[in-house]
Amino acid sequence: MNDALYIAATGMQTQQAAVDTISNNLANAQTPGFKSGRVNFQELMYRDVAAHGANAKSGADDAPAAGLEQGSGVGVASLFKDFTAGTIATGGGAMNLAIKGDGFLEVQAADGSTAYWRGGRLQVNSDGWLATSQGQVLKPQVRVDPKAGELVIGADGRLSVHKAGAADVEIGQLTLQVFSNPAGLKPAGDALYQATAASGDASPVRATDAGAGQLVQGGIEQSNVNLVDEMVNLMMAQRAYEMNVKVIQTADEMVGMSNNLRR
Amino acid sequence: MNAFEIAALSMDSDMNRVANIGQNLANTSTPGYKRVVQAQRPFSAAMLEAGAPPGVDTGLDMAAGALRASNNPLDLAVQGDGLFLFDSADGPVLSRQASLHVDGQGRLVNDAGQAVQSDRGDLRATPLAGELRIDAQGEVWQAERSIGRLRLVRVGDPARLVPLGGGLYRPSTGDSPQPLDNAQVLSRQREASNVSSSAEMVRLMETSRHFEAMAKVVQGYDEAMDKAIRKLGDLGS
Repeated sequence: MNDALYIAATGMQTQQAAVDTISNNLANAQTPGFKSGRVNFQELMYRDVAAHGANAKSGADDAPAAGLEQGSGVGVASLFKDFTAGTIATGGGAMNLAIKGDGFLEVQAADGSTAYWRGGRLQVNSDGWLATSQGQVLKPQVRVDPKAGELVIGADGRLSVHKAGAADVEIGQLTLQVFSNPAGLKPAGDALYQATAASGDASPVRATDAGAGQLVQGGIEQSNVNLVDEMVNLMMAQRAYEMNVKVIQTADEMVGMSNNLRR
Repeated sequence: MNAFEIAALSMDSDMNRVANIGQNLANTSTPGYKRVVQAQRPFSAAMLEAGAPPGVDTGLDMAAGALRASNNPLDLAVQGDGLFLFDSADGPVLSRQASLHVDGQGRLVNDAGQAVQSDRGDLRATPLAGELRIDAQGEVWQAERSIGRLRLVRVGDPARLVPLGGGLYRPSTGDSPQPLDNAQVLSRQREASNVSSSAEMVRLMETSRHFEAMAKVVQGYDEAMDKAIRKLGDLGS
């Protein structure tokens, strides 16, 4: 009897999830390398509710017995990241690295697991390994001696050390990893992502090869949040929430009325 | 049937109607959602047909929703009455829109992980072989190579499709999908829900007032009965 109450409640919950995602996107509009989140809605399961007298009808009728296909509301189909590239701003200094294209860099997370990074600020950690600014060491590991000269990262991922008056010395090679479905990656914070069954396994490719993208030393990838779209979505979510509240109020009034039939 | 029963049935069907309106309003932002419409069976039919009280028939309003541009080339909409065909564990399912992505195995699938069907069965993308593109005829290209053509179908009576949730439908019994050759596929477009929030709000008000009126009928009839009993009781004394 009170399906309407529960259906409208699912509507409020999903719109709340949408507002949560939008606010996270807006909060990170200035975070370098941030990828905006998206909520995908879907209507929930339908169930057959026999209409009054439907079972009294003869089964010989070839038309489907008049039944009510009663939906049970709306739910979140998926929460995913939109991996559209952000604008790459240059001039960020030699220790900034951006990836122009779809690749990721493999890093070792604090707990020893493998994570994937879209670039950002690099550092040489206390042990001399090249790492992200949060301290995750890049894989394959590269040892950098800051005294040897300036670090140069080629578009193809070749790492070398440049010192005035001497030939460049090659010290390593960065490999990019690509996924068949990057939207399925799981965000792990610190601009890191983890592979999931949905994303598929990482396949290593050489930068500048087709589809992998190239490395941009000194580049900073801006957040890909589109403020106008987010604001429009926020307004839409708020109004949709309001509509569901009205349905709840109406259903409640109706139940109240039927309770007061007997005075 | 007496007035009590009639009013009670009417109130019951109003409750169902509110649940359906709630379902439509909850899905105003669900891409590809199709509005559920209710048709009240005429009361006279119920009176003539013994044992079949008035009820409600539900159907789907398959009118196209507005198209919203997206930046994903794998968000597809179809013009006209075509439907996309997906392969699920319980047989083929149909959908008005396809937000595809490449899954871990390289297949093109929808949000529920069901593979979209083409003239060559499941569509498979080769990793790193280039960007996917879908033209107006439904031909799927990876770089300059065609990997298949989407199968589009139509059904005789779209209003009788059985909704499964998630924008997916099962054809009703005896209405098997027929191939549709000249459908136009629109890439980078998502079909918005076809629910008009103002129309639904009006129906919501209408229904709640109708419910109120029926409640008054019950109360009025109750009063009349009360009076009748009392008057008749007076006779005896």
